Amino acid sequence: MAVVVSKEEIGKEEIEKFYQFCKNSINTEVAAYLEACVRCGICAEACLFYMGENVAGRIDPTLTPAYKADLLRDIYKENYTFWGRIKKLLGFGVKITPEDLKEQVKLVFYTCTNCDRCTKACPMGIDTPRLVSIVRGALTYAGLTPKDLAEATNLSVEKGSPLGVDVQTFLQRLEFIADEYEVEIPIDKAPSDYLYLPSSIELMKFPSSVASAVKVLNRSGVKWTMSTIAHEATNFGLFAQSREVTKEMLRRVLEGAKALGVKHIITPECGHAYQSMRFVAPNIFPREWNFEVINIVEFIEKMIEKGNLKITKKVLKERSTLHDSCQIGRRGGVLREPRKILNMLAEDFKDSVLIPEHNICCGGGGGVLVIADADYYRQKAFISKMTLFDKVGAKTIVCYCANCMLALNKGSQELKRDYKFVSIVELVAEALEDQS
Amino acid sequence: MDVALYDFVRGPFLRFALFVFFLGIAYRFFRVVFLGLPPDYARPKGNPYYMAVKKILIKPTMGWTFNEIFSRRAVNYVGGFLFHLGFIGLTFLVPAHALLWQEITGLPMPTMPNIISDILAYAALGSLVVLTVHRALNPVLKLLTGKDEYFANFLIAIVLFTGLLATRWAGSGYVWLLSLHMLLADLLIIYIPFSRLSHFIYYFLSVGFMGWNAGKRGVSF
Amino acid sequence: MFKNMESLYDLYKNKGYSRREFLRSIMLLSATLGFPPSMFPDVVKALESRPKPAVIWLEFQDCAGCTESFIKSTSILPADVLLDYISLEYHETLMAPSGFYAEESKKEAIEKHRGRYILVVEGSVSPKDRGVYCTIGGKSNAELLQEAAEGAGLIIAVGSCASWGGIPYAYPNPTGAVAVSKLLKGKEVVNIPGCPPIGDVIVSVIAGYTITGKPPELDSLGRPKAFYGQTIHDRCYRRPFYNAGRFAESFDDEKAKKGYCLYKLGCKGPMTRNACATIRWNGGLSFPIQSGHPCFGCSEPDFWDRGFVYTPLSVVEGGFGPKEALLSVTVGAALGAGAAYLNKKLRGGK
Ligand code: SF4
Ligand code: SF4
Ligand code: SF4
Repeated sequence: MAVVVSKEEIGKEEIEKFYQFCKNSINTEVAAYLEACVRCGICAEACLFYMGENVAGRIDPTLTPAYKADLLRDIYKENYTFWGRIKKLLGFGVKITPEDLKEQVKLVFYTCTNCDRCTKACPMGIDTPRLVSIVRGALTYAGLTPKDLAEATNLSVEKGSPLGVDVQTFLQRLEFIADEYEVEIPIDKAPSDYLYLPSSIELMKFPSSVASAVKVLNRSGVKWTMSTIAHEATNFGLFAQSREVTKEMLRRVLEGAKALGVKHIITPECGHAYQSMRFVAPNIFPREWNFEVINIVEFIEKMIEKGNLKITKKVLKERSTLHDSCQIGRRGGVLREPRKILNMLAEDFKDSVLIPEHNICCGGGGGVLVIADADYYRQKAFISKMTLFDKVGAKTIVCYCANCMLALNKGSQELKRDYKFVSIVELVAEALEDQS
Repeated sequence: MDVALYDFVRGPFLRFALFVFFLGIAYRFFRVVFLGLPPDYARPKGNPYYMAVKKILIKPTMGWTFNEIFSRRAVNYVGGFLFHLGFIGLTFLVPAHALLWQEITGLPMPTMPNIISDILAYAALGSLVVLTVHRALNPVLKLLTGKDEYFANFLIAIVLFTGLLATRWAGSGYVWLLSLHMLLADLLIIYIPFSRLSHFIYYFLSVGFMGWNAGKRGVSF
Repeated sequence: MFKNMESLYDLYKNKGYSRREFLRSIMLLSATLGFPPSMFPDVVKALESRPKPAVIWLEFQDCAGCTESFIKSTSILPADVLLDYISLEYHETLMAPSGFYAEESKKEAIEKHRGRYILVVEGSVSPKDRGVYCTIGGKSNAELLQEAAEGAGLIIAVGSCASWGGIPYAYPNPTGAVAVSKLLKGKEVVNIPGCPPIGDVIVSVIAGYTITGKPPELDSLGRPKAFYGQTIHDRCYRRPFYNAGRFAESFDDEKAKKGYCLYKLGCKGPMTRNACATIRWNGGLSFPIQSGHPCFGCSEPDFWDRGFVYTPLSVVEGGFGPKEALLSVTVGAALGAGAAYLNKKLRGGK
């Protein structure tokens, strides 16, 4: 079984592996990004980690997104460009020390959530998350994944979920939810059109979210089910950028979906679950992956359009704003839908950004949340997120990703703030509550 | 003397510089293009091709919408915009330059009057100075900047400056200044493919990819 | 024949001109030479008293165009005064004697005016193959030049041929023609280039020497600064159109008729130093640009070999058109593809 390791010692072999991985990951797109950077540093102002430090009164230039890709850039140069090659031949090539790799771990695992905001601000359109992912992959390949992340990743491979939710726990939790919230949950029901996968974060930490999703699904009147094979939506392989883990997790989803013969997969309120199933899976299983993958928010919007769901009640009275999940929103294209739904649900909804794509990340995405060493940076990132909440003066923040909610809650508590974070699906369920 | 230099810099040397430039730029561009891309089987949510073209066309005007970044980095945005406007405008539309482009491309080129080129030159030169100073002072930029950037800025500044001097205040030193301007411009043309100044060609790739990704994901930005 | 003691004023009087007319000519001359007004009395005195200059005019590989230009110079001195004043002791095209007598009279003049006479050389010199390509009275042109230059008070090379080599010097230069100054190393030569140069300039320089007894102030190429200090473009009356970006596109389009700048038609004014735009030709009547033809830089070294008469100045000499651009792009693309292929090979991995 593929496992991700977290070594303490960094030796020659690790450095070599890191180097080779970086070198082998270059293609046209990556090379174009690496070449195009004009060193303008505008991306710094877009990155929530840098901004957070800045708001807190410190400037840490190493948090600039462009800088996070600089080692990769150097490796690219000496292997793909004429001058770089000559320099290398003359002995002026990059020399990577163990300290350098430690810094890279900090840069790409602690201070980047792959949120894609810098891409949108960069005048050259450079996709820094793409580059960061390569460095992450290289570090994972070299066995230098941060400990917490490696553990969670391995757990998900072994037990089926990063929180250690195996099939048994899964069923127990569902039973508990069914009882507690008085909902009927179809499991392994064939034939079905839709397969709904919860994320274990919701399952364990926000059971009401799962219950709400179930309520919404039930009410929409489609034929849907959950699966005991494909019972986990999250995919930590994406965080660690381990292709093996990603593939293994997706294989389970694929098997479960195939076994049930569904056409559509509904991903829960989980950013990278959507990302992995919508955009990554088709490339890993180009032939078998024939499903339409939609997010639960998209699903709700579709059902509203179709008339299967009707929202008539404004359940949110106070001033509220929306927090976008980067992987579903900015990187997934589901930005219009939550706004539309929220406008139906909230009386005083005020968007904190002019353009939805500009929203700031929660600071916990990309696995940053589970890495204890990254807490300092995550808290700083929360400060920049807070500026948006405070700008519109909202205390109630609607989210559509459980991981975001977790990270935001944590940040809010750590910094002793009184923001309230609610899930959009829960709001929808509430609005549908006493309709018959 | 000066005319001999002038003939050299507008003759063989310019020819050489142009060869180096076109060859180098094409080399750099295609060296990247032919690296290849893995296929992408994910069904796009929008129209990637349309978005790629659209982004290439309008991306430079979109930075302004990020207003909080804009407010922090007005120097970069305004300075960068003015500089590029000036530099590109001058490169293509000053009559003497336009005629050169006309010869190179074989297409008719519009020209602009001196008064506009003067304004552009002052704008470009001024913003370049400001941007360079900013580069030297801002901690983020200090970290990102290497010798290449300063050298390039210096070279461009002095090309602009000599050009401005030649057309404006040269008096009897006109031919000298013009030759100097052209000599430096030749050097700049040669330098472009070897430096980050060639970002203009990668712009099409990287912004194209960015637009392609945006189209794939169905986002507008 | 030798009426050398006459001064300019004497000549004017003899020819029946008034003093007023004399003074007007001097005023013009001083202005042309760029003398300050305070010098005016001295100039008048000099031209009243100093004897007229003795000139020996040698022609080598030339076309006599400079001579033509010179004798047609009428804006400063009236036609009948000009040739009397500037006493041409020897000039193959203009003098009456010929053959042996002519050579004799030259010798005589050199002796008589040694150290004072002005040597004007028209045409380039050809020292190649011991000078066989241009001989007079059995002597090679280089030899004749040395002979005449030795005792000269002032040496003037008129025309682009004498100044730079000109047309004989142009590729492939079969006679090995060179500029006068090349053969007279160590001697000061005043170059008055142009094809031909403006006659008034030649006259002014000669008269200026009589006034000051010194050669005029020269630039690094030996040209009098007073006439070659500025480019045509600097003083061109079409300059406002250039500044406004208005150009004639062809010789007879609307824009040409409106008198727009001729840059696009190949005007070399911006790099040509000459006085055409200020003194003009034919008694200040006009000059090429005024008559609608671009300046083609006849007074600049090697103008003939440049050969881009009707292509704009900024266009690459030697040519760099779409073909060349395409060629270099193709080569670059091929190299780029090759590099990418190698890189991919060396990349390994997936
Ligand atoms: S993707 Fe987001 S977190 Fe990462 S560098 Fe860019 S802005 Fe910062
Ligand atoms: S904004 Fe883009 S071009 Fe500028 S430094 Fe960052 S990555 Fe480079
Ligand atoms: S016509 Fe020639 S000299 Fe006159 S302004 Fe135009 S370019 Fe200059």
